[in-house]
Amino acid sequence: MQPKKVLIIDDEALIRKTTELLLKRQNVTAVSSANGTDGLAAAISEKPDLILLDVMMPGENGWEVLRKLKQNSDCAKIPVIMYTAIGDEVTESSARERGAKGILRKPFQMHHFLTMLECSGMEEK
Amino acid sequence: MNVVMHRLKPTLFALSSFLLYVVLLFLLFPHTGGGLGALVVIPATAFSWFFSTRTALMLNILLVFPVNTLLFNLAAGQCRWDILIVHNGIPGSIALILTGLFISYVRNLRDAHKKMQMQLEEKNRQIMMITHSIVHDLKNPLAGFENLFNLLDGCIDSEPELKELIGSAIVSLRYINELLDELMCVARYETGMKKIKVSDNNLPELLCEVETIFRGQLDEKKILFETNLKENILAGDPDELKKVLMNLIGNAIKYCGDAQNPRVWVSSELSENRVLVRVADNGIGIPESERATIFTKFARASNVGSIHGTGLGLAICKAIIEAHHGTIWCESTEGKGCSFCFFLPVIESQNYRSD
Repeated sequence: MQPKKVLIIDDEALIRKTTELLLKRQNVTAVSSANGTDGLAAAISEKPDLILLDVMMPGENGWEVLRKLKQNSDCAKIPVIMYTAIGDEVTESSARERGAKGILRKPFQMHHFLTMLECSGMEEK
Repeated sequence: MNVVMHRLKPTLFALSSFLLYVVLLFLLFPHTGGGLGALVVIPATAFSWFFSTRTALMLNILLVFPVNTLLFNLAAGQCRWDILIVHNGIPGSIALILTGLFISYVRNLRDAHKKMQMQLEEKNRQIMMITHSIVHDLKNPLAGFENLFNLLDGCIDSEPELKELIGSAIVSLRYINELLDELMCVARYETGMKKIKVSDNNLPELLCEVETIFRGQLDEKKILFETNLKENILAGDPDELKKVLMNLIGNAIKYCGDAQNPRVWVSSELSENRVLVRVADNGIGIPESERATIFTKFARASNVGSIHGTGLGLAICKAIIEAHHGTIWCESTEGKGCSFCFFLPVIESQNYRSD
């Protein structure tokens, strides 16, 4: 089976890099971008299986990036998971309302993530 | 009940003020003004049932003087302005001034109290705003550190001592994270930033989700988890209600103590247009003297021993239940377990349905 590819869009280098490394350890290919504009370009060029999108980013925030991702026909179908450190700020239901597949809390929780990755694969088929 | 109290208060207030007025009239001049005034005062006071205290006061003043004058004239059989002014006007004016002073004194006291309360609430809100923004800024880097420690944990198998240290660092970080999450949640409620979205929820489904989360811990501690639900619909914000159930059931599991057959059971029933939910256990319980304060921030029962906790979980439950116009309380016998109960109104869901 070909390893899954995940795109991480987060402005904090420490989060971005550590998440990338944690994913690589699980045999998941990870690429990352530090802002929404780069993230959108990477989503189109890299065609990831899943996007982890930070909510609080300077400039364009996660919700704006999510809207752009969903409007672009090249990447509208890629499932997006909101990646947030603030547990109470984004709820599962509010994320789904705006078109995301769900939320993943920071610090990175491997078992939650792996379930989401599996689910996203199944829905595509 | 509230509506009655709301109307009764100004009425009683007005009635007492005008009885004072009548008493003063009697004292100052017993044969005319006071006695006649009383005939008017009592029916006039009834107006305050329908109007504010101030309106009732105006009505009384407008009614008492002319009617007193009229009655006095009828009784005397002639117009005696001199007696009217001396016997009714002067003591009446003094009585009215005194009544007015009394009313404004009470009003001032009440206003000052209200103002102070508002200032305190505002200060608390400001503190919570600061807390919120500090927690917000701390969460991201902390999450990065935990990721980093998790990475390190996976690649230093050659150095067991260091690995152990990293393990305990991860535990500490998780605790800090939990504390910050809960602090953030309290701050959101206390600053009024939290808006709840009410909908009808299926209680068995909510409980099933919570049970799944705790399944591992329930099995590990061999705790029997039971439900006895006579009412299945719970109106409220699903995410927030889940938080309450998670906190209460999580506590029941955490403080199960060394009971022979540890049990956690959840029941629900409909009672006077409210849903009563009870989460009970046969664990260590809460000492009676601490039951009233157990819902305050950072309060922890004295018998928890070394079981870790932030002391914020129950404060969060209280904030959530109160935001839903419900009440939460605790019943317990120390050493024999405790049950946490909350009432949630059913009315909200009916409103919601009609929306």
